[in-house]
Amino acid sequence: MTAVQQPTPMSDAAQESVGVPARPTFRARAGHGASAFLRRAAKILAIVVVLLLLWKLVTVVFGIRDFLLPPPEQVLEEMWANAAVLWGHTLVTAQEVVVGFLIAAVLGLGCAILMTASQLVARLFYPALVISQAIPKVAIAPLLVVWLGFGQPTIITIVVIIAFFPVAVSGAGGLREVPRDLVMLGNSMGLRGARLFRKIMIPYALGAIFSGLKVGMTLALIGAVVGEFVTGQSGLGYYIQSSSSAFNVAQSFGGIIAIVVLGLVAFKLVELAESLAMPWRREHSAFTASA
Amino acid sequence: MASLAFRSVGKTYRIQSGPVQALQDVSFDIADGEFVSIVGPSGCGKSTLLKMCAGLVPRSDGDILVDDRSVTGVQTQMGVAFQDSLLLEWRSVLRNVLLQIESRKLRIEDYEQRARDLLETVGMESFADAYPGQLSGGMKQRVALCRTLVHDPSVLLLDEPFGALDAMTRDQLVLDLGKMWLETRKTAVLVTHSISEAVFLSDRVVVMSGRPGTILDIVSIDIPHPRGIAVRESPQFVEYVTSIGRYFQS
Ligand SMILES: Nc1ncnc2c1ncn2[C@@H]1O[C@H](COP(=O)(O)OP(=O)(O)OP(=O)(O)O)[C@@H](O)[C@H]1O
Ligand SMILES: [Mg+2]
Repeated sequence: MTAVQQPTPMSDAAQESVGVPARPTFRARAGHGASAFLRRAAKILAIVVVLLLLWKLVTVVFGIRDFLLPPPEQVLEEMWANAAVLWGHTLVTAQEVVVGFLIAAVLGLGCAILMTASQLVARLFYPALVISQAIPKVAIAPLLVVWLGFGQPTIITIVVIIAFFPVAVSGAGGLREVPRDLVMLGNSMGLRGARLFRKIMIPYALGAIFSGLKVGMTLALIGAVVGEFVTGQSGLGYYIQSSSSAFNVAQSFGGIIAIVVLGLVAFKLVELAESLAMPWRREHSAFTASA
Repeated sequence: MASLAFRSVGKTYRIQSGPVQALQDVSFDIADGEFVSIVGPSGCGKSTLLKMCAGLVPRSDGDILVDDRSVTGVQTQMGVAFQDSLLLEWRSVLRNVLLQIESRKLRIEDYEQRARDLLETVGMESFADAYPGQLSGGMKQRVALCRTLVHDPSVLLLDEPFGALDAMTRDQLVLDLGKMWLETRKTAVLVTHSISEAVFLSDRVVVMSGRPGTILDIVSIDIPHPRGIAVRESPQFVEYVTSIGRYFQS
């Protein structure tokens, strides 16, 4: 039992009826988890419906012809008809993204730790790493095809290269921001090297690490699609490209929608990992992110 | 079991805008079991002196001896309380205190009760499972003090451990610290901005000048232990406080 004062847990309905602003609030862990989820789902659904209506409106008002921008119902119909094929391509892309992202995360974090642990490594690589942010990594995709040939290994390599940098840069930045006194505290208790990283530095830098992972995940999907544009025999990038070259615009749009959904799911997975890795943030931040 | 000796210690920080001399020619000894306080204006190098003593910051000049041996690396046998509470926000209060034990690879079970007892002494026992994000500055400082003491260190280096506390809690903790020191007689160095606190607790008070910090005076406090609250109204006590205070009037 803690003596910490939690504001009286009111139900959302009660809060609204009394006119108390719902946020900021200390949110209890289990609390209104389920209802919050439903509310969020409803919100997303509403946004989707509005977007589809807008889309429909544009095609009607401006009289855009089907082979340029098909109306939404035609795209959805197409997706439904091709569901199995579309799903197959989605899985291919998802696999490239996940494998590439995981490799990039491990390499990126390892590199960040090395750059923090060793002055020498930092002096050699940190400036180069920061500058490399400005270089569009997708530009080397065609070169990679020359070096590595066609196929999934090449695509995964592109994903790794593109997702590695934000992870390494944010991670190294976060680890550098650990206050000097905190490191000294660790030293005074006998913590050095790997144990210092495990007990103090890495937990302290988790926020920065996860913001790098989120950017990395977004870029991983871009890398996979670009890779499929260049060399794919399957996957959503390939699907969109081959549909477009056949002037099947409705099918292309189906592929784009699948990419958007895949991107959202991937991003949410990283967010979920973040809240699992940092439960103290979830429970104790005064301003819980409003859904 | 520890004596400390500072021999012409100096410290110059080299930063981009040029060298900053923090301390110059600081010499004094602390006997085993002695309680010494350091007072001085902000920025005169008090925290730096403690960190050098613990082997956390390298010195630029002179020598620091712990039990007649020169400090060359981190002195892990000491208990250091930093000026900031430096609690880890991802650990509960109790686990923050026990970090000291965990880090030293000692058995946590052997120290958990002691950790809880210490938390009780500082009035934080009901917050054992709370997280630092839920605590006030003064509460955090009290937890940090427990973390400094939990492994029963042979030397205490306390950098303004009561800085963020209200006057009443502060008085109580000063009394508790005095009592605890009397029971264990550990070598202790306390940095504080409160002259009366320094006089109340110490065998000797080191008075330092502004930057670069040098020693202006070392005042022996000849008031017998144990000292109760009433001591603070005695003419002798008041005389010590005013005479040290004179160093800081411009
Ligand atoms: N890591 C550092 N790099 C550069 N200069 C530093 C560093 N740490 C301290 N200093 C400088 O050394 C001087 C002494 O600092 P220190 O923190 O020891 O003072 P202090 O006496 O503890 O002050 P306060 O009472 O305000 O805590 C200051 O002028 C400060 O600017
Ligand atoms: Mg200080």
